[in-house]
Amino acid sequence: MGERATRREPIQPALDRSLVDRARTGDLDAFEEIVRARMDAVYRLSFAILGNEADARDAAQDTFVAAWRQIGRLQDVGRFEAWLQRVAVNAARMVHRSRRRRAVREIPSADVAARVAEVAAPEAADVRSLDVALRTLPVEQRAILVLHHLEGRAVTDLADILEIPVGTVKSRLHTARAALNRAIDAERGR
Amino acid sequence: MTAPQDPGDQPLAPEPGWDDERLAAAFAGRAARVVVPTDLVAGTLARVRPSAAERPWWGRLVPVGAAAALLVVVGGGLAILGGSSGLLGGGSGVTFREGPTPDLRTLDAGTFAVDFPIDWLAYTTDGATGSGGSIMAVLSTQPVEDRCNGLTGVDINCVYEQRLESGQMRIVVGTGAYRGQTIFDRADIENGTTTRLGLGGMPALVDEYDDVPDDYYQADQSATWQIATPMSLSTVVRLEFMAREPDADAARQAAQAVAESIRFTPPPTPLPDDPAAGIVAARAALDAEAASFRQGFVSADDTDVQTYLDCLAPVPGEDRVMDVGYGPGGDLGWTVLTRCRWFVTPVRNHQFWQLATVYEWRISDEVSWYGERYYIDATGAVVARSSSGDTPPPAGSPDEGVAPAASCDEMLQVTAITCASVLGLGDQAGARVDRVRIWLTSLGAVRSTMDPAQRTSLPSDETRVWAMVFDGEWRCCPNAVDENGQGIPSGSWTTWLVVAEADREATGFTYIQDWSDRAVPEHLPGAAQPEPNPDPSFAPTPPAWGPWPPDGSEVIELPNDDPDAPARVAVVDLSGSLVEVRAPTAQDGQPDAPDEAFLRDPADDGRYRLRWGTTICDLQMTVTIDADLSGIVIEHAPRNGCDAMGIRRELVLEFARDVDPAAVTLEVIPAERLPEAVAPGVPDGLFGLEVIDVEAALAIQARPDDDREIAVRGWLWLNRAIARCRISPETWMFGRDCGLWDTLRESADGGPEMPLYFGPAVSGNPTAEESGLEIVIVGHFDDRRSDACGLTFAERCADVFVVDTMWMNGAPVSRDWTIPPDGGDVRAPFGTADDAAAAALSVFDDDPTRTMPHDAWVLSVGLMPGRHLAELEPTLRPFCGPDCDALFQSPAWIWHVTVLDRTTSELRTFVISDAEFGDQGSIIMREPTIDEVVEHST
Repeated sequence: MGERATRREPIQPALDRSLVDRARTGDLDAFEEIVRARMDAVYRLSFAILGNEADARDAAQDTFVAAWRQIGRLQDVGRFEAWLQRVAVNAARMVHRSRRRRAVREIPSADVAARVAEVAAPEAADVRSLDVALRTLPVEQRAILVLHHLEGRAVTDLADILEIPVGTVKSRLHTARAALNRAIDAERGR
Repeated sequence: MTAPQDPGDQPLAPEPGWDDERLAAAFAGRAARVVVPTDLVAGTLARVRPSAAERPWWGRLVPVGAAAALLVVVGGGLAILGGSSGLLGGGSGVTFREGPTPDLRTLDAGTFAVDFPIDWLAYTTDGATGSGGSIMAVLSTQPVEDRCNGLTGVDINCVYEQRLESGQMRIVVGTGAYRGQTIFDRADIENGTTTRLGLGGMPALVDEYDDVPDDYYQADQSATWQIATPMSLSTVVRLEFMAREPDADAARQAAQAVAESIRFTPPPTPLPDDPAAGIVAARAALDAEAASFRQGFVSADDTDVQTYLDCLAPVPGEDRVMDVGYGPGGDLGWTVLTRCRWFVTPVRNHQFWQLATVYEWRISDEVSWYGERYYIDATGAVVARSSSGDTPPPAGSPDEGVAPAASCDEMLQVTAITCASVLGLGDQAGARVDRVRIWLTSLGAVRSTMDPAQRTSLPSDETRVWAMVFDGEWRCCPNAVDENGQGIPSGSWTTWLVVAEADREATGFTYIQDWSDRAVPEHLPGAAQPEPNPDPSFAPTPPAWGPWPPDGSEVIELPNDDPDAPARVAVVDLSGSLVEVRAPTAQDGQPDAPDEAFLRDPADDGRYRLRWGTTICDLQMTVTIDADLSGIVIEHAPRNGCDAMGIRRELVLEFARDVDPAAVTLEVIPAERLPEAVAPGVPDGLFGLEVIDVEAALAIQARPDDDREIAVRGWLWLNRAIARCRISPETWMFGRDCGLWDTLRESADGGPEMPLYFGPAVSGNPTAEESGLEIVIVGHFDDRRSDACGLTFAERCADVFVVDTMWMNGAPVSRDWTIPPDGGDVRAPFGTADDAAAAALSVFDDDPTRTMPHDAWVLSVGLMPGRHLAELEPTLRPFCGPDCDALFQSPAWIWHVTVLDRTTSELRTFVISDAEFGDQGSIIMREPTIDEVVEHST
């Protein structure tokens, strides 16, 4: 068990609140700036949850379309970042839901690249194991793991983003982590 | 890299397996290989921009009388001086060209054009823009001063500085936008006249001021036309006109001609004539909005919490009451009992549908409302929105001591009548129910305490009843009677009483009475507490009902919701004076009269109207007219139970002699309920599936994505209101009239129940008469086609049990079904149902030469024209891809086969082209290829 670190600083610079304010009042130019500023983060979050390019692309686009339609209702500008992440998580859930009824399964091109990378770098095997294991988990568990372990969101942040009590966050994180460990073990044991 | 921790966080317990550092490294490595597509921002903006006009604006409307601000922001900066006349194309994107006649020229702005007299001067502007619109051109009889000319057009600020000279006029052409409003919402001006009209096929208005507001220009006339654009009712083309005497009137007329010449590219599309198209478009818009709202505001943890948009009924005009946890502003933090409804109406010039949603709720006796309006064009696009009223309070809690209506679930489930039924009774007339007080007691106790009026029957004092006092608001009352048994006219009540027999379902209500002026007791004398397991047995003796229609009667057919099951009335005239009897027509009108009456037709002294209340389940009635014309008796045939709302029936009668309606007594005998049918014994297993009960099936329903095939035993309860939908697979589940479900109940007397949807394979079974029959149904929850219900209803559709086949009357129903062709000369299919079944089963063969039975069971084989496939399999086409287009558009036969895979208990569906069997008239028995068989696995 590694030592816990202090909270990681956000990767991205904070958004200018006036941009959000303007977007709330219908300023499309301001919203376009937000899209440009936050697309990377939203796409990476979507990809981390969904695990493939096509779905992440759809989810990222859906996130901003939904955000544009609903940002006028946002009452607390200071919560925009958390709100946008929740929209992204919900968008990922919706995309995943629409996909799961399909009888076809896409093989992301990234998988091929990952296998090649394993040969060159043994630590890439962990990445591949994580990738495969994550796909076996419900999307809700993927989301909370990604937000915590990749996005660096603390438990209190997760409670804010997911709109659930802190205790529930801890419980779910515990359950998700245990499920992930089991899935990784299963993947490694194949 | 390790997991984060807030100073205030309690440390998470360490997990076995990978430590945090290794896991974080793997996550980081996984993220590092993610390359954000370079075109993603552009692609996203391409999706966002077209919706800019339809973006909701959730501010409130300004009070009536306060004119909405039309935003036309003029760009700053000085024009670069130069010699341009402005007659060339400028920064505004406007061009001028020859007009439709020699005396006219055309201003072409791309999306719209207007014509103006050829002798006017025309200037493009420098394209002054703002978030609300732009100034595009100036049309004038007075030259713009040279100093105003810029390289790309005239500087509009400079033009505005220029006063009008005598006999001159000027029109400034531009665009504008209403923030949060539409052109319909903009209030009339207060110091002049606002005239609403249509121009270019779009709604428009013209403001004319009584006094020219600013004498700077010394104008004698001033008017501004604002014409909505087809893209959005919130954006307008704006023509700002002013003229100075002499000849200001002529200039005004010329300006009006300019406005009237406007046309748009592309032109607005008129709405289709079919009002149903508006309902479909509105429902789709609401579904999209509900999904978008849920995505933006609802916690993933709150999938069971309803948003205010979820509260809206599937169809317009239908009230629904629901506990709403998310209001327009987001999470309320509690639930508010809200009454919701929506309407769709075409608006001016029939270019748009106006979708109005209204939400009402009461907290501490204070009634509040909130509404949203959407304008939808002929393509189904939402072109404008607005909102008004107050949103539900986001904090607080219900008053102490107020029992929410939902609590009845805990009490009423112990008797035959359900919570849904009792709320339906209270809400039968569109009432809003805020609170309901409920007693399980005897009718005698209710009579002695509240003295309710008689409604439909007179049980004994010992009859066990639910007494329910509803608080809320009730405005209309089609089936209610007062203490004297007379119809209650339209009005408004805040408290009313319903008494329902506890051991009879749905139709067992006996009393309903306005209780507004009475003190409602908190306790009833002798009121019993709910009993956990009341005796469910109830089997009324069927009344004597002879052969129908009676000899010598005349049978009149009355329209019913189900066109295949019209209501019929046998009229027996013992007086011998009845000359004519018929169903009323639209031309006969609707006299203002109680719902149960015999009266002289106000429109024709020689005619009489006979009205009575019944239900849509009553399909056979007999009206007997006494020999001396002193009375009329209306009897209803006995029938099975009925959950349907009451309706009014009416006949138009003519007699050979004058009849005094006041001297004729009217007696209505309601239908008695038949005892439940007794079915032969049901099997313990079917198609290799264990037959389970409804309760066990509901446990499977609760599991997400469990679409395995199961066999369920229960008692069928048909909802006759959806018969048409069930028989014709023209829509899937929530289309049109669907959304009210048949149900399968645990027992003949009620108990847990689950909603059913009958697929075409069983559409002819059961028939309406078989409601109440014990059956076994085979099917599944979580049908893949639930997605076709739209985002809002997908989960609800997924909870509906789709019946693939069934067992009834001692045997399975036929597996074969057919949707006939639409007409024309149609050849017989090449293959047979057995051929299609064999082709589908061949997919299950590992070895085509095997002789062992297939490990699969064909549940149904359907034959239909290919173009009906999309109705039956709405989600198949996107899955199938472009290769299947011909299949979906073809009038040729296709086979639709469902097979139960016994190894997995999954249903597999096959679509097989009949042409497969048509090769030289012989049957090709071989394993189909993908070209021949499209498999759609669940």
